[in-house]
Amino acid sequence: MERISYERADSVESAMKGGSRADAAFLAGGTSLVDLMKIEVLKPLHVIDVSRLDLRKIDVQQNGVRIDAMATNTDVAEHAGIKKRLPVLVEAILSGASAQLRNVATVGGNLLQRTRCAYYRDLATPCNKREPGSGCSAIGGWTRMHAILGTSDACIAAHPSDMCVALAALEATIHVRGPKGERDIPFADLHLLPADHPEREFSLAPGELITSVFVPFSAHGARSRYLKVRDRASYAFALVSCAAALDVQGGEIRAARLALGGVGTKPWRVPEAEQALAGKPAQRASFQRAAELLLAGARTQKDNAFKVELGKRTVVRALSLAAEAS
Amino acid sequence: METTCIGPAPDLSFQLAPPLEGASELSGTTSVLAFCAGFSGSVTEELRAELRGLGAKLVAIHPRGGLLIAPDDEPRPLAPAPHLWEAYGVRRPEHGGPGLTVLLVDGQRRIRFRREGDALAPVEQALLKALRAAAASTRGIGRRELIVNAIALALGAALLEACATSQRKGGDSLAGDGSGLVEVPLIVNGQKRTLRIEPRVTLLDALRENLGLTGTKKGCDMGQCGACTVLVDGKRVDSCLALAVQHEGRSITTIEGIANGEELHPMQQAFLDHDAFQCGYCTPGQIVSAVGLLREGCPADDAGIREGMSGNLCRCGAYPNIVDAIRSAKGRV
Amino acid sequence: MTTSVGKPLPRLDGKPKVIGAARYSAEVQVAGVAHGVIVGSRAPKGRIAAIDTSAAEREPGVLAVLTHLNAMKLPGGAEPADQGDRVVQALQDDLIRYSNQPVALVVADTLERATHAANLVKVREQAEPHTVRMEDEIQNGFKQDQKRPTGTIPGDQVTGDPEAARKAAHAVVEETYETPPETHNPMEPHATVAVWSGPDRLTLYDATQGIFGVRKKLAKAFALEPENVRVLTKFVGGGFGCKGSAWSHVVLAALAARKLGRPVKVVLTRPQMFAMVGGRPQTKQLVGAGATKEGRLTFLRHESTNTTSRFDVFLEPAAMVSRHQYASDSISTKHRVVRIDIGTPTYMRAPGESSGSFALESAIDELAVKLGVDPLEFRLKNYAEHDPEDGKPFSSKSLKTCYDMAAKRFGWEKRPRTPRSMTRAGMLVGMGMATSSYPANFNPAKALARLMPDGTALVLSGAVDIGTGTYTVMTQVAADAIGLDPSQVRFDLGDTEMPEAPRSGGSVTATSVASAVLAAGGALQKRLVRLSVEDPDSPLRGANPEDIRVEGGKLTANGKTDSFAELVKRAGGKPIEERAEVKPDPDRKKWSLHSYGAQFAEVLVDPDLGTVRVSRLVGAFAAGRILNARLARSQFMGGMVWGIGMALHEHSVYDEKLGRIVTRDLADYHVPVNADVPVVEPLFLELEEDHQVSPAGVKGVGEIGITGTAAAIASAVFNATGRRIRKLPITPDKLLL
Repeated sequence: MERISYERADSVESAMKGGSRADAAFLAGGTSLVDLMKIEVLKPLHVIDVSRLDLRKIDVQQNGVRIDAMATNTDVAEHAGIKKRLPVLVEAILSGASAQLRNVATVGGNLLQRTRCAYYRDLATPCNKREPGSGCSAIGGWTRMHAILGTSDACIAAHPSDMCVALAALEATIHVRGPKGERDIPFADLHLLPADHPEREFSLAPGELITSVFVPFSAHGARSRYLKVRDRASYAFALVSCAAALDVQGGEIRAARLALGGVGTKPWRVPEAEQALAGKPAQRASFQRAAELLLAGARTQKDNAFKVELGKRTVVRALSLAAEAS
Repeated sequence: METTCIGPAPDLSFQLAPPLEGASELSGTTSVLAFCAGFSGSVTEELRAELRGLGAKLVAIHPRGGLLIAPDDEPRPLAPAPHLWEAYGVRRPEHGGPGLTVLLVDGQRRIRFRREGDALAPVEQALLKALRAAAASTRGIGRRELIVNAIALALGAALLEACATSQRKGGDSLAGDGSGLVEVPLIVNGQKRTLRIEPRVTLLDALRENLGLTGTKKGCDMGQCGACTVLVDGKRVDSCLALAVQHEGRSITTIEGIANGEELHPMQQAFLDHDAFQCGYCTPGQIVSAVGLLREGCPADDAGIREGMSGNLCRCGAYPNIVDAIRSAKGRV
Repeated sequence: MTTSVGKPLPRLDGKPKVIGAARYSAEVQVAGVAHGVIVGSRAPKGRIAAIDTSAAEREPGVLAVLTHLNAMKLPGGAEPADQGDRVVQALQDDLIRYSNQPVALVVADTLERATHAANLVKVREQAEPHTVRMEDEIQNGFKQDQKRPTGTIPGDQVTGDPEAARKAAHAVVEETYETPPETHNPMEPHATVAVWSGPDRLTLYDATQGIFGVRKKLAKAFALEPENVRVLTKFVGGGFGCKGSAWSHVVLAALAARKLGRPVKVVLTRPQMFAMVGGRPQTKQLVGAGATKEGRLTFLRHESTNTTSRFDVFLEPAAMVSRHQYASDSISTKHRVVRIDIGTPTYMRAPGESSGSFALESAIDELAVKLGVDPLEFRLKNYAEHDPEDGKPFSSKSLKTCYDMAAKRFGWEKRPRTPRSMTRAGMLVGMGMATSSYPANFNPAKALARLMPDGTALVLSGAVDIGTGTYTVMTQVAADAIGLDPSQVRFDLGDTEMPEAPRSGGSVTATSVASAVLAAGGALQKRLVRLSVEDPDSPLRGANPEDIRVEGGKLTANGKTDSFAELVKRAGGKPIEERAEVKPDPDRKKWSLHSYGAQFAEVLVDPDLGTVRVSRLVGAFAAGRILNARLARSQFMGGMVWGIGMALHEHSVYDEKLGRIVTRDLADYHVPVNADVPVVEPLFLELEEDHQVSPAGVKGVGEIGITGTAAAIASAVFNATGRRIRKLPITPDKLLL
């Protein structure tokens, strides 16, 4: 790791002040940032520890729940209210990483988690995200764990977070505070597609600090499941994952939300796929149609072509599980 | 900075005391000869560490005999050897001689250093301080020769100021300018420990390198194996992805703090009872993680234990026994 | 007479391990140690055109940066010291031979400073065309024999008439089976601390399976007398073969320590363990098997090709298992090795037996299925009563008992007769089985047994306990041999000042070292008896040595008792010592010596998603005399768990364009996690009589657990899905229909 200077923010204001420096980074749990700093993929020279800010509450409100940014993954997964009304979120969090990591990883940090692409993480292999313009080693390389949706000729790195897939399907809103004031970012707008600039990953302005996430309650949110397909039984990144939320009345789908993980450069939603489910019977045929739409436009590489078929089956299975849930 | 050679070492043959037999010939290796009034014979791990670092053997000679101490061996008692005092021209303490005479002999049997003085502290302590000062002053020195010189000078300095203290590691830089170091007060296993380290030092390295608590293991150093699991305020975390500086005021429990003094923690006992380990490297992490798991709530069944412990890899494949151990400890923890 | 051997004594090194007091190589307290961090190459092949260390050297705390430009030329060179040793890269030239080869070593006063400075070393490489694909060099494959400490075994062999035997077959299976490159990944990274204590004296604290091999290598490299190189290894965090020889980092640590005149510690990062310390090579195996309509094997053909580096040859002897496993009219086997631009592979748990048994046992299963014969019954039909290769009798073979024990315990009769015919909670259920076997090796070993003045015994042998339980079982063997309670015996290991023992590999330690300890202990007891009967002051003076019973430190005959403590006192109070050296009995060559076992696996396969989970694993083994049932059970179990990883998870993937391993941490290289491992039941015979295999009757249990397991799982997957996967690992994408 580079030599760094460290400061502990005692207020959001002081955090933002330091955070405006180009060579500064906010440090919460550290499970993504410290990891990448140790292997010198990310090299902030100044870290601002925001983990002890008074931003750890989980506030159940009328229409939804506001989760403060420093709440840990474990805090969220253990919350009775969230378990009851947003089960997909709990399932997604519990399927990710290990207990040790979940005990420390914060919601804010999880939102800003970096990709696990092996070429990104290896300083010896060119990477456009790490060093703009240096090339993408993954394309034409080992692509089993890489994205098939939202890719570009510059980057095919998959988004790694499970929590984000659930929050995408639940249409969460992210609240940030920055030097220019406060604003809300719809979940779908937080993560950027790589396009020609894979180094630009978030729609945050310099100095902006995520302070909370609001997740609305809904009928479909209460009947939601997360399915993660991976190479081993636990502690592994997704080959494909799916968050499925269904509002079913009398066997008919009133509303559906779907998001995919493991296959997109960001959590992947296709409104068309969700609309195709509305008004349809909660049966396999409807699910398959939605799966087709959700995986439409996939651009595959040599090693990840299987994710199209596996992806479709995962969607169908996740929707079946959501339909069964009561 | 060359220390002149005082002369050849007259005698480097030390007769072992019964029940051992034979003599030990020290040549080709750095030796520290300490003529003193007495030597308790307790060889601390700290003293061994210093000797290892210098690649040296220590011969403590006193009127009733002596001890030959090599860092990785049992100390061997030496027979009384009055002729040695004579050979090296050392006046015995009971005849009014100095409390401690130290000679340094290099690998070519040359005496490079000699100092006499009153040992103000117990001999073992004086020696330890001397060796530490020698090690600290040898950093950055390239040539083998200079090591010997530095030891010589340091020993002399240390003996003259027997109460000199030197802070171990903890990021004390070579130049001693303290640049970039921060004070990090930690509570580790119930004890307050303050480190002066760089901010980039992880909690894992702070424990292992700066506090000498090597029970917590480094398996991958990137949060992928769980060998580095410790408890922070009772919750299990991977210490390799934590910066030490972030943990000011937090209560950290390592494997060394799991037991209740001499009494093993039920989880440790359970691991022993069920042979829940083989090579033992993942074991501290497994045990601490298991304690953390049971604090998070009792897993309903074996599947819950397996899933809950999947953040701790065991390449020896002891998983089924680990599950047995944890199951048996449920309710006892 | 109460014996200790056979009793399930808990590990004597257990307490230090559970309280965090056991010190592994990187943790031995060495004051003043400096930290060395290796810089690895990017390119897999070429030369170092230029290397700029200025930025690294300027970093605070950096003490030295070693490169090929300034590193001392090793007076003895970097070539292997013996047959078990490997060629290493110790900054002796500018050649790059594989990606992530050491090209520099940065030494600093703290680990953080050394690690950061290592990233500042700029290496300009002149890359040359490379290949990491076996296929690209397969035409240059060459024959290779298997070199063992006890002799060379030819790589190619034929019995009978393969052509005629093939023609006589009613049903034939001829398939290619492939195992990927794998990496050992013990939990403890390789670590070495090097301390010079004179111009010609070197001490190493090294994470190794073989301290004498390390001593030999370093003595040769630095042109030192072996007695002046001391290697100490009291605890090792797993080896599995990758710590069986001294790799580059060991020499680099010694070079740096010599240059700086202070101890240097080099610990590999996890990514560095994926290139420069070996792994199991990729294998491509052609197996042909043919049988009569009744299921009798007429021919068996097994041809294995594995990869090695350009500069050192390692053979994975995968086809050896086919030479003795089953009776067949004709058996022909071949071994070929192909050089590509990778780091040299090395022994990895059951080298040859695990990779080869996957291929052989899968082929046998395919043939049984083809004939409609139950796979277990098929194996019984072709049971070899003597070694089919040369007709030698087996020294002992309780395989039928193993088949029976395991099949009963597993419930083999419940096996679905046709694929896809059984489900459980929506998952397809499948069952498979395979034969396990492992040669019973025996290497020369020495030990000493010393009776101390207080009547206890100190027994020493320079073996290494890599988690196998050596500390404990040798204490038991010694206790019985000398006639003491184990609590009165201290067995110590891991120091080259002790009598020489073989490296802890090839499942030899229990066999070889136990035999040496038995001999030394026995010699000591004999001497004590003699002293007792010959000493005029002894209560047992004049007694007949044959009448004397020795137990718990006491000698008794005709109602009179002498004690060890008294005996020593009467003899002058000095320790009484006996040394022994054992070598494999030449008579062993008359026998075929193996451990055997049977593995049964049940899997659950998701019919849509293709995920495979092993739901049950039962193994039964016969490995001679079991010294400690508790510890042996753990070894069998550990091997079986490795089999799960081999079947479903493990694969060191090379990026072909870059020539570099891309799965270079534990998130991308999967080993089983706790949730992957179901109930695993290793059954075993506690005593299989065998007087030929070794004086102690021991065969070794460390590796047999992984043999056959992957095939049992693959066959279970076939039984569940109807899909036969012949290329490991069996990942979901391979099962999407």
